[in-house]
Amino acid sequence: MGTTLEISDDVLWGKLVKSWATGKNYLSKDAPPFPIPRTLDELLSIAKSIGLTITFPDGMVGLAVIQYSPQTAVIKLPPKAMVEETEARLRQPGAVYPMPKFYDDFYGMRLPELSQDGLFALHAARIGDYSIRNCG
Amino acid sequence: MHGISLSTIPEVEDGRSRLTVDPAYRGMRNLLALSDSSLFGAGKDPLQLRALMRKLSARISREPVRPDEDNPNIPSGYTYLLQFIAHDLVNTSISLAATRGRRFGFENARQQPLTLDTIYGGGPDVSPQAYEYTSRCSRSRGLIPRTRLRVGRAQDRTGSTSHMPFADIGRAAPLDVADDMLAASPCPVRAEALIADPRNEDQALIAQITGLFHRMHNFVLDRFDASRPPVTAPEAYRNFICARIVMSLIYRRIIVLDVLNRLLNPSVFRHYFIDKRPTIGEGDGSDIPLEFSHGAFRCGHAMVRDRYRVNSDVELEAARALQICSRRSPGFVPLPEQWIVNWDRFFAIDPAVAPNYSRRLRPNFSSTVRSEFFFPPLDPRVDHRGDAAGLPNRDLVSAVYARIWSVPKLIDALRAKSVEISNFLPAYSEVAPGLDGWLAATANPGGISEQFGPGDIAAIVEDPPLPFFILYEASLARYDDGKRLGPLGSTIVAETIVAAMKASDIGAGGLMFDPCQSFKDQSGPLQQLGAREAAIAGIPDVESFEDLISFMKSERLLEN
Repeated sequence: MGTTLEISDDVLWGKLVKSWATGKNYLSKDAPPFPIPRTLDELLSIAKSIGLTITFPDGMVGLAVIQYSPQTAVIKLPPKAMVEETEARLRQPGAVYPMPKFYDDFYGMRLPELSQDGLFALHAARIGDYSIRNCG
Repeated sequence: MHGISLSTIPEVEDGRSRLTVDPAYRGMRNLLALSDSSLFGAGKDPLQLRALMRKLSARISREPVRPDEDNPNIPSGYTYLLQFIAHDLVNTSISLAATRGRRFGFENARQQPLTLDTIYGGGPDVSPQAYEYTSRCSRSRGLIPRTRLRVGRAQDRTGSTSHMPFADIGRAAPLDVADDMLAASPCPVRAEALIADPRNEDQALIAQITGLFHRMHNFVLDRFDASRPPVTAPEAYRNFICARIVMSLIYRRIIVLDVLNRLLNPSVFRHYFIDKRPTIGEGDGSDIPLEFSHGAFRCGHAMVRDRYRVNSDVELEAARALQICSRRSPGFVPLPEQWIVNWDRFFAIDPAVAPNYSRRLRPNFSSTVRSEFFFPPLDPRVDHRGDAAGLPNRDLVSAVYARIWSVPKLIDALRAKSVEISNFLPAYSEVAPGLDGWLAATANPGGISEQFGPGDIAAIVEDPPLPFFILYEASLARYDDGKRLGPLGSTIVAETIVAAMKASDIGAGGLMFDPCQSFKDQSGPLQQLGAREAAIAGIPDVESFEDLISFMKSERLLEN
């Protein structure tokens, strides 16, 4: 456990999620599909078996895996405490938006310096985005 | 680190279906003359062997991290100093893994190993981009050569470089060029690194090691220029050559007394560097053994951490350092201020500051070097599954195509050549027990990562790939539990470096210099080259990289 969620390899993690979503094995093409984890321990065990390290924030003990249909609008509400914690961090002088670093990697440039208004607008847009938009 | 070429030239498929010895690559050699039967993978189908390497990579990825993964013997600065030294020994950007061993365009262009070619390049006239354009050069219409090496400013969080320290290498934005990415850019992009060897900006940490050498060169040159101001081109070259000789001597002393003293098995270090026993390798010493370049020295990849405390207690992800590279992602350069290294955190300089330590030398790698983003699979067609992602797999695949010695046979051959070596290099049969157990550990038939099939483990035990075996050997408790290389890895490294230093003596005008002698003792020959005694007196006799940094700090060379 740590204070923030950390995933050692975003691409590998994404392949794992795609495997669960589709029932295919994106990690080893001819290998059979593998079960969706039901507990954090199961998830960590699967991750370890492929050399992936996931660190969850302190105090996180439960796991919910949701797969929705294309016909259902699902709105995933983030925990109130997490939203407020991020807002508090964004109010600090010199705050930087905690954008996952793989965006920098793929776009080949850094997120520009933002004003506090800009940081809060980006925060809102990001929360809105990942709460409702389907992957793909 | 990337080990993938941007300049690989496709070659006609040669149709070879079994591994056999190939004529030597120019500038490279085998440590000992190699026959077909002694080759790693002799007679095997390289594609099948490549698939086996993928399974071995999967096993390596399953290796659990140890709670005491830090190597207290080797601070992290040495990880990148070793990369720098590798660049000074081998200058080729073509990956044999990427080309399936086709060697068109593959040669080692490094003519004078371990003389800092990697920062000086071909000198001011051949590699002018690495050198400062000075008023002296301008006033003489270019007749007086550029002799100071470039440094560049870092950037702050807004992207501004004004008032920032010269902590980076020099970088340039090409203007009015036809490059489609640059022509379309609304603002100048620093896509060019102003250094002699572009691999030295592979990431932010080696770039700053390079910058240290540039600064130290400028300090030494300034002393020679101050004591005998150059007015003519020959006088400027004279001072430049004196500075390069001094820098090469400092560098070699650090390699022997510090780097190798930490990295090598103590018995091997004693044999080659205290008892000064001769090398037994065959061929021209300035040619680099493939067993070094594609075997033993790949150990540096296992030393890379996932996170570094760069200049404070805040940890930064090592993957971010990989992005700070003009060639790969100019949008991230110059060096961001949060990546300006406090060297106390990379070398054991200040007892009050705990440095980052490298990871132990064992078959286990950080997520950074296994990253699919930075090191995607080279060939998606191998065995209908493709290669594995990550540097560990690339190193193994390179070993397949490099035509290097089989480990058991190399050990036999080295022991047969020298009784003294056989005293510290045990027979393979003494080291192999336990390897099958290591390979079988973590196996899970229902697991989602690729598992070994029938016969795979036996095949690896019979003929393990050298880059893997070097790490396995280093990890054994009978040696130093991953704190330094084992005897085979150490012997290959020592043989290579001693032979390279001997083949490329440091000297000029018939005068030879010894890195292990003090500058005071070599003042006479240096004065014969034109250096003034007063200038030589101010040059430190450092014995470690830590000494060098401490000296540079005392001279305030790291402050602006």
